Amino acid sequence: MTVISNLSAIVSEIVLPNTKIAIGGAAMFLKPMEAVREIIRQQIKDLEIITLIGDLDIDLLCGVKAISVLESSFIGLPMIGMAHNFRKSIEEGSGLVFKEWSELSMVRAFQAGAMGLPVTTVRSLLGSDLVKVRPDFEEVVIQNKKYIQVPALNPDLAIIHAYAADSNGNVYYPKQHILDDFSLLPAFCSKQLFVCVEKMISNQEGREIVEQGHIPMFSYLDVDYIAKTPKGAWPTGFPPEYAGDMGHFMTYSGMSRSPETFQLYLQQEIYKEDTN
Amino acid sequence: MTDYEVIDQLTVSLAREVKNGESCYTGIAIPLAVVSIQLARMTHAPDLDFYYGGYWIQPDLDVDLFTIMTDLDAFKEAFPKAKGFNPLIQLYRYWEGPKHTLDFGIIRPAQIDQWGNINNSVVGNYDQPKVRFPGGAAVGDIINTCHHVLVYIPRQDKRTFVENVDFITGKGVSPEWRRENGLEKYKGITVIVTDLAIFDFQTKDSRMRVRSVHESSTIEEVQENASFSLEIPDPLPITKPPTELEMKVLREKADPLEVRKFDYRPR
Repeated sequence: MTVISNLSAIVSEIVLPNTKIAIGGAAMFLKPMEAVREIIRQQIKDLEIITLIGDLDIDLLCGVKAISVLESSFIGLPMIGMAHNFRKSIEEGSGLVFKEWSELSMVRAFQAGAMGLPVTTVRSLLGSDLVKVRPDFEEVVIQNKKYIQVPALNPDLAIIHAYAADSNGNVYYPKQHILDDFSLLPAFCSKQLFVCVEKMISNQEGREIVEQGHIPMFSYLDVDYIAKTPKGAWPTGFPPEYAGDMGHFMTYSGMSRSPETFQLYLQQEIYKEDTN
Repeated sequence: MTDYEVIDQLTVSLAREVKNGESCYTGIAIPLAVVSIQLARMTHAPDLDFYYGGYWIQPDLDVDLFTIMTDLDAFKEAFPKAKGFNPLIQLYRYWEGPKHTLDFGIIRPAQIDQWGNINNSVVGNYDQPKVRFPGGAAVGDIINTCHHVLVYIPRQDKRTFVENVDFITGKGVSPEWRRENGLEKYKGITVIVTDLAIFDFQTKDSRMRVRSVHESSTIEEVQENASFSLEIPDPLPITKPPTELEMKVLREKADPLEVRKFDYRPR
């Protein structure tokens, strides 16, 4: 039975310390940012976060020291620069454990997790020093060919952003939607799925989207929790609904350089909504 | 004489490495690569299949790609006119599969060494590094899955051109290693373009060599900005400067917003 409720109630129920959470989206697109902001407002710590390509989501969570273990292939602000809080957390030895992947190996690990496989193999990691620093990566020979064996990913929870849901819990994406694998991959390998949607629609409207040739991305059988978060991916982009807010990323890049201005950012953009 | 800046030479030189009819991939974080691809398509390589961050193929338009990506109206207009459309889902699914191998990728690593190894991970000790780079994303994967790889480094210096990288995020060119590992189809990095010169690995031991020096720099400057001794051919070719046509297309169509300068810190 899909639970449809408000963001704050769902986050406090399912995002607990030590939860292993896969965050959907990538590279300043499709990130469930409102859920990330709610996690910060509720001051939940000791999270294990998994994301294919992290940007503002991960840098904010690093900045408030909410993450104990992080798995990703890239953490930065594409086209803008470094993710300062992430970088500082590692360089200053704050205790954050970073499990680094290559993008393709991580994709394979998501896919293997969704299929219930314990491990998978990838060839593109051959020769990479990642194999030396990841004790769970291992060179194997299968039919006289070398591969790197990597573990499958099965997070406790995936949080993704989507377009719309109906009251049964089916989740829809609009026409011209792009980049959906960034959400599909974490969603299907995780034990639970929490979808933040732009809006709720009727079953009738949902069927019309389907008839236009766009199948629901997730049926109610896949989805455990739904919360309505209008413009909830902001400032990451959710095309064709809204583009990424490059100006905001540039402002953040500047403000995240020092602890003082980072605190100011948190006050202005995140905690303020707490009092509303 | 055509009026141009160093960043234009870099962009144009990268574009000239592209052959018509090839297929290629770049990440979305490297604006200069995207501009050079678009310049190539608007000049000598109209039939280039381009996966932009994995999902655009061949928008087939006279609009610069950055506008399509950041302006929703431009995106909505471009979408129906695209020759083909490939959501990322497909690239991820056939990567390393039998269906499709891309001809080349373009990457911008934080460090490269004389053997063509690239580092986008750390400087210093891995667990508590002096510098933590963002990570490789797909750069290591591209090096071992595309037929060859073009590299650009907007500002060449001793920190970016190192003798041996601290950490191998993407494997070097070594043909022996590639044969032993069954990766001989994928040559690794073949060409590097920087703000000073163009390099390749066309030596007996597959070590980095100067292919040509830009007319705006000297060979002394090129050597001073590398932490290892470079192979230098004799006679030393000078990189062909941008032509009037290339500069016109670059300024007016491929990159009117000067997105290429996002990548560039002048010396």
